[in-house]
Amino acid sequence: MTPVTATVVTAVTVGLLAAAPPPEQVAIAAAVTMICLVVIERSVSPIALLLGWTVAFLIPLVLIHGLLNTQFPVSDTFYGVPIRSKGIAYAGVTGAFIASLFVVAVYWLRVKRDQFMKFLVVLGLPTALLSVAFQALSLVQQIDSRSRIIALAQRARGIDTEGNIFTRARALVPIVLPLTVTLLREARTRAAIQDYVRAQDAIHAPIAAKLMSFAELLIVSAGAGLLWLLLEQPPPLRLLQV
Amino acid sequence: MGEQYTRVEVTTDDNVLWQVLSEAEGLASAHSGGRSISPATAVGFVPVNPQMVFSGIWASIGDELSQIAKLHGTDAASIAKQFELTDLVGQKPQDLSGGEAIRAAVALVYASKPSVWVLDRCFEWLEPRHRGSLSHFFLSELQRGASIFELSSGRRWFIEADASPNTSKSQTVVRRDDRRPAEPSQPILELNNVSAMLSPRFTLGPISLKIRAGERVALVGPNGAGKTTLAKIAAGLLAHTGKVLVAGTQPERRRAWAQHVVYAFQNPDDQIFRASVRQELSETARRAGRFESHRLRNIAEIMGLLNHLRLNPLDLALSNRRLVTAGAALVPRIRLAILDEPTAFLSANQLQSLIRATEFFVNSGGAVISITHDPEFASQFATRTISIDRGQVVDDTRP
Repeated sequence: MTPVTATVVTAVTVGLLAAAPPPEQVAIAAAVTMICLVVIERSVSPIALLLGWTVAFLIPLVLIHGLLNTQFPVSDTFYGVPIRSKGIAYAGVTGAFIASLFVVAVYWLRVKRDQFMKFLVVLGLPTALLSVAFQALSLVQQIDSRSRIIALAQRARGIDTEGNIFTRARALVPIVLPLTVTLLREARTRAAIQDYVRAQDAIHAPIAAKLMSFAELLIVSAGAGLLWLLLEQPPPLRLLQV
Repeated sequence: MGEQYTRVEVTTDDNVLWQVLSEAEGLASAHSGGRSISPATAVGFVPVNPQMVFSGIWASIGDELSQIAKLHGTDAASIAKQFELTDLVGQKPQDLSGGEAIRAAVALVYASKPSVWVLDRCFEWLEPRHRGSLSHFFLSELQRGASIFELSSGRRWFIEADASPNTSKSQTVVRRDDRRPAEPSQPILELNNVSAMLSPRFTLGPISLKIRAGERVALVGPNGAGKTTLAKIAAGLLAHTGKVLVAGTQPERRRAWAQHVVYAFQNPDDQIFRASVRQELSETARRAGRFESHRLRNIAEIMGLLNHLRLNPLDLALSNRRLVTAGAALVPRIRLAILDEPTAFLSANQLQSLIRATEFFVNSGGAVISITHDPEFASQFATRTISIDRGQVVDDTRP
């Protein structure tokens, strides 16, 4: 996945949501971008990730608005439990809206760190901003690889780090504590290395990509669209009013 | 400005390093001779954890190196060749072994053309050959006019390494009678045609071997030969083909495995999480259901940790933290303890304490496997030496 593709998807998705189409179109937009993701990645694993995230939000939304929110009229009962069909529809539209944003997030997750860094360089961001982005990305990678090593090291001494949710919860302290302590302990050293060795490393990333002015335009458009969306009333509510 | 080598012994963490770095910056300013050069970028700093040198953003060691080389106008290809990294340039930094990571880190730092080097205990995890070649490299840096500050754990790897002191020591060590292995018994660990493919570049095995009670096994070989991979398979931490039997059975669950085999990783900070040294030493034994308080006291006494039992292990120096994690693996009365580079960062006295602690463990019916690049330790510790190279056992000797 290239940053340009992810930028295009971001712009299109945000544009569609900002244009406040009927609820069905939000769902269609989410479905189309999902299918594009599967085609580009040649894998359905991103969809599983996406559904997992969306369902985690959708279940409480349905429970709250479909059963408990008295602003929606009761349309039926099930063993005495009130069912609010308009509330369920509202939860569904909100879920589709969230899914659309998650599609964008999944696209960006598939962009490799080095490609993203080069993309930022091409955009001509200021050195200070590049340096911050570089260090943030670097830290994410280091946290990821270090946490895997620590989990294995704790397994080596008999601490279960895999299994059901309770087992994983119990393993949190033996993993998170060494990870946090190590990162804090090494923070000053990492800063020193940044100074001594690479300083303005990010600026010197090799650049081969084209269409950068187009990508810049898309990013600015997407940013403007998102801003407009946030400044307006909550989008799902707006969609229901259409 | 002439050459300058300064060796600083590290007894406590961190503060010494920052004093040295500050001094190095001052020296780098003097080296620049009035040219407009940042003192910071003229200092070549190789930290105790070489992985910190890699940004993790670029996809491979080669990319990391070429980024730094472009920044400082140096030639990445020739540097890779100089540090024997040509075969590793396509690898991800996190996939390198400890010694490979140190060579790559030194190469990256060298690409920034430093005039003053600060080496924070970076010789500890290197195999003797690369320890020698890096020593030669730093000697040539000294001759070129660079200055070097070496932070050391008390044992001399650099400068004297040119005269191979460790090799000569290893030949003159008087072996003691009580280091003979116990009578042959049921194997504690049995590997039958074990193989593991970690990457297209590296396949371990097939390897077959047996470890018996009473054995103290030194697992030696070049960096990246497969020592840690083999140890992880023995500890049930890595997927493999072939059969691994622990005490005659093939453990199906991780917990069952941990009741027989414990593995202390290279970096102590990856394992320490309890609030006191006492708790940390007992943690592994309690998890295995094999805790005996008198064993904890014995190990703590042997390792010189008795006075630290109430302290937070994270407040101890790196060398003592290393002893704590090794000690935690030796406290439980289990079959097999695997120690990965346990002598890194230890002083000569602490090394002797560690050897005595492994003797205590073995005398209670267990066996110890230690991955090591330290010839002095190997010669004093081992009743059996298994050499691995390119994923194969190339030598298996019982002196």
